[in-house]
Amino acid sequence: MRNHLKIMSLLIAFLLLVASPLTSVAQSLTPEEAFFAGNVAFKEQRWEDALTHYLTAYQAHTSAALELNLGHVYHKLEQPGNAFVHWRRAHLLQPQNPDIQHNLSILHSITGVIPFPPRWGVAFVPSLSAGIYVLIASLAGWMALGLWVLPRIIRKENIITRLASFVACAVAVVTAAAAFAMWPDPKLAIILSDETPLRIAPTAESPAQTKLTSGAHVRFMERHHNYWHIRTVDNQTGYVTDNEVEPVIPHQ
Amino acid sequence: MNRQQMNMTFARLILFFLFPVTALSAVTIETAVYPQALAVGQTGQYVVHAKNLERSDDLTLEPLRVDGLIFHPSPSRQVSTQMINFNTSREIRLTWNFTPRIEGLYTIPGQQITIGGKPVQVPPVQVRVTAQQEVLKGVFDLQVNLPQRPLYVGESIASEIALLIRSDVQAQLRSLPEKEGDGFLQTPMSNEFRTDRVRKNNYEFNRASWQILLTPIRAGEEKLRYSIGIVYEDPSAPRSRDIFGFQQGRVEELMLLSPHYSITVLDLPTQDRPASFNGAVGNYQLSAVLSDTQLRTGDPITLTITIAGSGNLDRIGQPAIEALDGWRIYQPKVETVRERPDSLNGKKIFEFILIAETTTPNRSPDVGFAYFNPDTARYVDASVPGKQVTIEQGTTGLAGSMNFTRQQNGTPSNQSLQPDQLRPPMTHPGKWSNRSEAFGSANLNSALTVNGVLAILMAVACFSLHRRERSRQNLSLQWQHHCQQSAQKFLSQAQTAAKSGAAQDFIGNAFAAVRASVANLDIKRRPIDSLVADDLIELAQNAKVNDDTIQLIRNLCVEYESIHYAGAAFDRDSLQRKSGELQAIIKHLDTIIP
Repeated sequence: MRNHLKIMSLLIAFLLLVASPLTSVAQSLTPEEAFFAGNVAFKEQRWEDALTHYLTAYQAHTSAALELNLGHVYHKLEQPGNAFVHWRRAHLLQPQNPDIQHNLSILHSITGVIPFPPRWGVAFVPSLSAGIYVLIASLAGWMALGLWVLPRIIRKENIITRLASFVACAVAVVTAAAAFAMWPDPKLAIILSDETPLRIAPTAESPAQTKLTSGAHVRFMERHHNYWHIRTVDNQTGYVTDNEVEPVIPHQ
Repeated sequence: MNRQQMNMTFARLILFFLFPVTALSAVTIETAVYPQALAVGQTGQYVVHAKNLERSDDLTLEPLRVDGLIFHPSPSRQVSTQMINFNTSREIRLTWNFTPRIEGLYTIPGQQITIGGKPVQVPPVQVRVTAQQEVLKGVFDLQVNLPQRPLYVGESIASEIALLIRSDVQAQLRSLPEKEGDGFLQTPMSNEFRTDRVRKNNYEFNRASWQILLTPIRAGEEKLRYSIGIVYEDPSAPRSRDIFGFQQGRVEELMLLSPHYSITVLDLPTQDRPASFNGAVGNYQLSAVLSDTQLRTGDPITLTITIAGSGNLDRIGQPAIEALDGWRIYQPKVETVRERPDSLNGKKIFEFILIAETTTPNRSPDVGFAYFNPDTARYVDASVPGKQVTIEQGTTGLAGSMNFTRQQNGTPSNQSLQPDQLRPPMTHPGKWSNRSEAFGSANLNSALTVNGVLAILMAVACFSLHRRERSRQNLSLQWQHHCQQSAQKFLSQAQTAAKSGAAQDFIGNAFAAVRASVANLDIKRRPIDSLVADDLIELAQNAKVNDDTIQLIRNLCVEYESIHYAGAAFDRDSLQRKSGELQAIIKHLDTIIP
């Protein structure tokens, strides 16, 4: 009997020794490993598992691909609100990616959700990220300043330097406008679930003036404790709770 | 007094001093209401006063809830600390403002709370609320204009809330009218209101009015009342004078209440209710417009349905579109347009995107819509039949490859995208970025970095070019630069010649170096080549060059002339020595500023 107990305790100790590194390996998946695990689960149509893996990867890091895939999982789980959030984030990270644009337009078609009208000028500028436009605008602006100031300092100002300065200035203004147009809207948010009441006042007892659908685009106006005062696309205003709405640009 | 008596006296003294300390240790809580009797709408105060608290103790109460009394959510807080017999204790006083809505005798219930790990009882307190003072009824009035007939569930009515304030009373609004009663929905109250003057009971009144739309949402006898917060100067209170001599009255806060309106709300009849009824109550006309009747399979067209009229436009659901084979119908874009925000009249527009999948259909789907007219108490079927269309086979073939996408503004574009097929997930994660910096802040950081670097580069360029230009413009600096450059050039040539023992070369270059260096001292800036030995000596003397250097210059000039004109010879050692002297002369002359 005593021998049996010894063998059992040794066996348990051995199993614990073996299992502990295994569990620690399972817990310490890198974002890339979690991403690939999510892809495998998605391919096998295990949507919940795929979501768990993608969210593991999403804890501290993100990428356009991860946002796109998260949107796919939420779409499969019939949560258009979350799908919108992640595809909009993917679009912010890679505005020129046609797949993301396509999926967003399809989701709009399926859900009937109307987005806010784009800022003026978005239709005229290529879909590059705001950062690139900022870089070009900065370079052009400083070049314009340099071409204007430096020839004056060395007293070699002529029509060519003036013209070059004017052109650089024009490029700076146009690209700055493009950067403004493409700059992500920090107030844009998405309603997460269907039948979300748009309350008249920021209290749980307040009657709902209307119900919002999952994926509805809204803009934050101001915060009242755990309520957001929001404006819908059709200019209705009201209150929703924190849990019912998700900002496209995560709050810091 | 013996020793035992002294000990007893000492013990009594200790007990005497300890008594307040022990008395302090017991935490006590008192509650009170000020005033103990008040009128409906008046603002009262509920005070909880905790004494003998330890320094670390705090006083936190559960939220106050008493039917008929509206408590302000956060109390004001007063904390005081006192020291008795070196023992510190605190007092905390919490004060809630509250407004009674209904008359009666109320008990604000007590609570069992824990302070410093011990249970403490907050005692209950009573307050009596009387009807709104008669004197105020002749000064203020809040009325709601409602129809004198039963309403139907979902029927929108235009209503007016009017606040009357006697013209001789100074008053200000503290809040907008607030609705009591959850049986009605109401359009948001606007900050803007109409004002006019009316006469009532031989008094002039200022009248403020708000236009709203009310919609009952359940059947039965529904109660409705409005309240509004005002601040006024009590006309009955005596006026006092402040230190500047201005008269001022007593300012009071008041929550003015309208009468309780009782409204009969009827359910919509179930008899003869059309299948296409979707909650529209009012009086409407429906029109359906197809953007094109000649189309090809795969081409998107728009079916615009406009419901115009007067009623509960916000609560109208989308019309029933017949599920006709051969059509693919997408969810509509919905827009509600009212004449004014508080107007019953307006229209609701539904824009459906339709795509013909086959050439079979010869008409567009029927549009089903029915509404309930409260004036006639009957349902009206306003359905519209489909329109004739001609559909040809599209060039793109199957519907699955149709050119369709909904752009951000909701109109179809011509991109070749498949309507039902999402692009697949990505197989590779791509470039990772930190979540907290990926959106927006990364752009901002890069913008700041780039602009910072460019600003520094620009500043450096401006500074160096400015310096260069200034030196170029300054003739004396230019002359100095020229002389020093020439002197350095000849000095190095002379040193080379000294090393190789070429006396003639050395002395020629040495003389040229000294001449260039001394020319720097010439205010007239004569050409360097035009200076002769006497000029050099004179210039050096005028510039107050020290005597040793002048002597060395003089010697050099003599040696130059002796070699140049008489062909005198020097050995290599003396040339090396002279080279050293020459360097010292040039160095000294460079330090002298003309």
